[in-house]
Amino acid sequence: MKNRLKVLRAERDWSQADLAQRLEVSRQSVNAIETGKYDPSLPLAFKIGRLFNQPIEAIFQDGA
Amino acid sequence: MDRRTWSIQALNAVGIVGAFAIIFGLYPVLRPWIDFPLELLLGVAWSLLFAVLAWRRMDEAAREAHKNAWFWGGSFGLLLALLALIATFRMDPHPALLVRFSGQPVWLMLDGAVFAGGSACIGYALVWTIWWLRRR
Repeated sequence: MKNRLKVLRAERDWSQADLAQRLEVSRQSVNAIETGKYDPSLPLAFKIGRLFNQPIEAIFQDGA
Repeated sequence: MDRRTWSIQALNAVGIVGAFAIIFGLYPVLRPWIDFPLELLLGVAWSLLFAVLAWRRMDEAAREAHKNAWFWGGSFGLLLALLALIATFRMDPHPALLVRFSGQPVWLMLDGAVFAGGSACIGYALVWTIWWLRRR
């Protein structure tokens, strides 16, 4: 699954560690999500959406 | 480190110090009256408590890594151990390494449990490491 997490994070000038702290996950998890190697759960996806004030589908795109 | 991490580390230290105190201090004194290996019981109880605290502190990706590792690594570790045992006994029905306590079924059972558990743990550790290396 593709996502715009890295772009959204860069727009706010946040590091992966900053984002991880805001989402209450590890930096490794943020990196795994950003690189598309790990798909977040629905609760975490909603949390990401709320943090960036955008709907989930605007951040995550189905790769199919 | 945040407060929760400090709490877990403190608990870890208390557990280690407590275990040493019990094993080398209290337990030898109580040994004649205790039938069950106390250090084993305490070890299991403390491990469970530590596992619960660690699990609650993990984020979802870390939990996913553990679940994947136990399912794939643990299952295939056990399967490979079983195949290795069958192959060993087919080659030699009385392998010297495995029947070192022949005549004492309890020790054979313990050997089997350690062998199975160890194989599952090795498989788990391998898959857990690969999971994180691929997602770094």
